Amino acid sequence: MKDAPPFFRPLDGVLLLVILVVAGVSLFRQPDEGPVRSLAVLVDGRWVKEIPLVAGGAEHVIRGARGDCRFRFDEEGCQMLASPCPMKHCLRQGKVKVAGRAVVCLPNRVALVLRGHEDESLDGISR
Amino acid sequence: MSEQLRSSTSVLILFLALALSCVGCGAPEPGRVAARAEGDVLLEAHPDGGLCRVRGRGMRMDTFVEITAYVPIESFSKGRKAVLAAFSAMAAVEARCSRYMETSELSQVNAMASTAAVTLSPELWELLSLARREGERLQGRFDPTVGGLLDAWNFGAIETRLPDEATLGKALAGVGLDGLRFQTEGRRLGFTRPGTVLDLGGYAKGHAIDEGARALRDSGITIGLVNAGGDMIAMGEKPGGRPWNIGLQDPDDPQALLGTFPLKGGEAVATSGDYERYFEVDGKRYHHLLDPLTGRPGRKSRSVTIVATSAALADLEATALFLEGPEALKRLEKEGRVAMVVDPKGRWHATPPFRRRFDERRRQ
Repeated sequence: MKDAPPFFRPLDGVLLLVILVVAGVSLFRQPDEGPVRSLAVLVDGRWVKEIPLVAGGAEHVIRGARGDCRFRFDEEGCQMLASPCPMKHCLRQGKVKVAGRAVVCLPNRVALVLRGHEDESLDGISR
Repeated sequence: MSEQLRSSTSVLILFLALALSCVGCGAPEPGRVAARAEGDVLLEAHPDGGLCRVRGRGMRMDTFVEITAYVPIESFSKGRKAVLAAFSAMAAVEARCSRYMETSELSQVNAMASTAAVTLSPELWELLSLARREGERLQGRFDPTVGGLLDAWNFGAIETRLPDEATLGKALAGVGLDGLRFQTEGRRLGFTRPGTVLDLGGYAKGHAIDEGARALRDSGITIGLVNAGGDMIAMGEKPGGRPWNIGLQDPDDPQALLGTFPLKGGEAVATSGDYERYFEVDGKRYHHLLDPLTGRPGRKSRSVTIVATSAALADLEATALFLEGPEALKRLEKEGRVAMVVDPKGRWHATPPFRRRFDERRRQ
């Protein structure tokens, strides 16, 4: 009668070691800090779309509760250019450059959130 | 197939199981953020410190909300459900406490309490009872009856203008905690002054943050952060015992930080500043942090930050601290509180516990 094959052989050990190293690196690696890579667009609290950052950037228009907001999203950040809101706080906010920050127009219920490899050293900004 | 190969195949299956556990965190690429929309919440998952960090972003109470929960790496689903439950809990507070939703309980109270006492839900009763106690403790610098005053200033109007004295006087007549008649039996509330309008404002936002944190806890989350418009509460410590590192906005530059400080589990922080809601007339800024005693914007601070045991308390104490200005820090120092004030000239003042924590970026 033939002996049963061993459950564990040397090649398995090597393979398992490689797996554990790869898995360990995957699980414990901290994210890279880096530039903004996309813009999440929310209207009336609903996630509408995500605009990837393209070379040179572009101007975009999004329809909000009161009308159209026009904004620019490029390598330097995101800036509201025109909005039908009365106070124009969103225009005064200027250019937002850091991932995790947002340009928000409350009257028009539009939020533009910069996304990317965020500043992992910060968990929130009290403002 | 050789036996060696068969045995290796079993290990390969183990590898696939491990790989799937990573996908279960929602991170298809190691170290990269994975995102997807769930209703009105944008969800992200990310491996962090051996755990899975699940983060939801969305709008609640006209405020940008970010909720973070840490779960074991294979438990993305638990984190996802917890974060969504927290968003739902915050929406429930909005539905009850918003003055701008006609169907909210607070709107119903405002519409009817002048003519007859209204029976309140246990939650609104508790909120208003606490508002009354804190308003008395803070000697009127926090007052939930300022709704009429805010209407007189009309910060959200298309054409902004200063209210005239007659309008202000009429609105001020409706302000004051003594205009609220609480009847403990039956949880009933009536207004005894004409023109009283309840507005829970930032206090309701703080309460919504607390309710969001409660929903996380009820879902089994022990490590998390609920952040609504920069006011937040922390739960537990981050993986590896790291503190929650909070940036503090520079009131002179919305893109810059004044500095950073660590927030401990169980602590809430609120910041109030004159840069959030305001309009300008003849170069002078008129902001929404109104003094209930004068009916006019407070002028003793540019921004204030205070740490408390709940976000609701932090919110209302921040309002009062803004109106009281740097001199309030002496009182808070005796109480061992963590608080700071940026005065009208842009200089910051803080209690010793805040100074010990604060890592300043902008030197004054």
